[in-house]
Amino acid sequence: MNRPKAKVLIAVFAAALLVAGLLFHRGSSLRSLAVSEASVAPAAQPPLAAQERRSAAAIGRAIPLSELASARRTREEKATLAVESEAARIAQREAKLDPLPWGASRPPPAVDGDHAVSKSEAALPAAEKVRQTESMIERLRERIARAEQPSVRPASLVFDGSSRARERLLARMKRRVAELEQSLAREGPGATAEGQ
Amino acid sequence: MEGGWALRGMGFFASLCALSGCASAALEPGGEQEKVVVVAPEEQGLVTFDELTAARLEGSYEYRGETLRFESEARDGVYYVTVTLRGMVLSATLDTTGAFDLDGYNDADGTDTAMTAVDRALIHALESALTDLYRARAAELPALDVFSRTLGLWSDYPDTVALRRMFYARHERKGSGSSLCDNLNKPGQGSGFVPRYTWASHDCLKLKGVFTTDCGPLTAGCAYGNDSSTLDSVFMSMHPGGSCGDGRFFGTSAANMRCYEPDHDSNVEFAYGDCFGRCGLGCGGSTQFTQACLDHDACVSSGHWTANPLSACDDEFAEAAVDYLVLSNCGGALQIDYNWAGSSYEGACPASWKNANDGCDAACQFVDGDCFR
Repeated sequence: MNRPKAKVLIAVFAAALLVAGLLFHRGSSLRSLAVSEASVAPAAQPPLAAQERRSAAAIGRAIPLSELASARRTREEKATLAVESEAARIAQREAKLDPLPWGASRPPPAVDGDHAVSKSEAALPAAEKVRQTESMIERLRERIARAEQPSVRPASLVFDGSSRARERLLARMKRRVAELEQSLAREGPGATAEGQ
Repeated sequence: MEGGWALRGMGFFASLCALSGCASAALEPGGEQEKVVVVAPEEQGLVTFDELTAARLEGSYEYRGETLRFESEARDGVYYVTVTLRGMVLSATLDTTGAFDLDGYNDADGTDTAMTAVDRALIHALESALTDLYRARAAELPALDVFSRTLGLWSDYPDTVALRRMFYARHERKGSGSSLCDNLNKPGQGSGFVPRYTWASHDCLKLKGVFTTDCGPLTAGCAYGNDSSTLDSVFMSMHPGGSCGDGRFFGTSAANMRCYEPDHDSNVEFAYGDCFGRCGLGCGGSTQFTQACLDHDACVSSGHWTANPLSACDDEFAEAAVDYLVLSNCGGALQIDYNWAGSSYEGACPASWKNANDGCDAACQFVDGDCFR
């Protein structure tokens, strides 16, 4: 065996060791991750047991074939337990709702003094804001006109169809139209159209 | 036509519920017009539709002795929604521009009022009750689509924001510009489950010390992006919530999450659950996920709450509001096989259930990859 050949062999052996080391290192780091990030999908359609084993392994946690039978058994046990947890969940939800003031009278309106304006609204070009406000005024007028038609069934007229409820809703919408018109007229382009 | 819709609805739900035990719907003789009745899953009330068509729906919802009545109408890209509950009328007018105008007042005298925790609970319960119907029919029933989205908006509506308000459409982000659909974890991600995490933050007045730049005095509290007001790794999905107050799971790693509300803890970077990032309170029918909605969720679930007297999350709400109604749905509904919320396994599932190809386990201390195959 001459020296150049030995060098090549040693180099090949070292490279193989390096590759194997890298692969082993990658595998162990994957296993150490709390949530695996491997993404190997089976190419063909192997038998079910092999499929389960492969897909389990693919997400970083290999399950021995001997454990699959017990895993299937636990499905039934888990189903039983899960039904019991539904009852507990309903009870807990109701217990969370119980302390709320269900019988309290309606509160006064929010002060809204420090009116929260979104960044996107603040960045909205004035002309676009005016366009949207004008369009909204038109929509509200259409809604009012539609609600005032006696032939139209009481859509958006607060359900019981009573004249008082209808009048209240109409009055609120008309007032809203007036507010939006005033804000446009008062402040011109760039006007905000907030309530109150 | 109404009877036709109802019949098809009944067929769908009869088959759906036979498989999964979810919400059920049935026909009820109602004189000239047949009604659609939806029994909400997990005993969360009863919805009755007197009318359910593409252009219009009308009905009522009964839960905990309260009756909520509703109407929704779709006309050429314009929508009108009206809801009455607990002596209050809520009204929404949605324009083709994407802008919408809201109002809310006392039913008795037409004077202004405010949203309360009870109102939100009732509205959210209705949205939850309609979840299965929404997923099955919203694409063909615009009146239902907008109605459910509007419920989602009102279910998140703070006490401290006036009910009478116009929200402007985004100029630069119409369509899906601010959507996070690509970051949403949903079924079909393959057997090699790769979790997708998203960053979320908020600003507020929380002060963590005098000599710190993390929520310190220089920024008058937490700035957007500060360590303590930021979650580096939110796992967004239609994953249900746990039994704690906000229903969300938090942890310092992806393997130790539990259901609780951290208070600006700089060590907590992982979170998931209760449809974290969805536009709407917790889980519901519609599936918009945006950065603004995610930031709002991160705010109310991290040491603040919707009815916070300091209104810490009102600006996040104002930023997110338009996304509830305008953006397209991301999809991503999960088939949960075992929901452990409320049980002794909540946040304490055996490790052998994780990624074990043994069905989707929800409300564990980890996210089960089986939910996303």
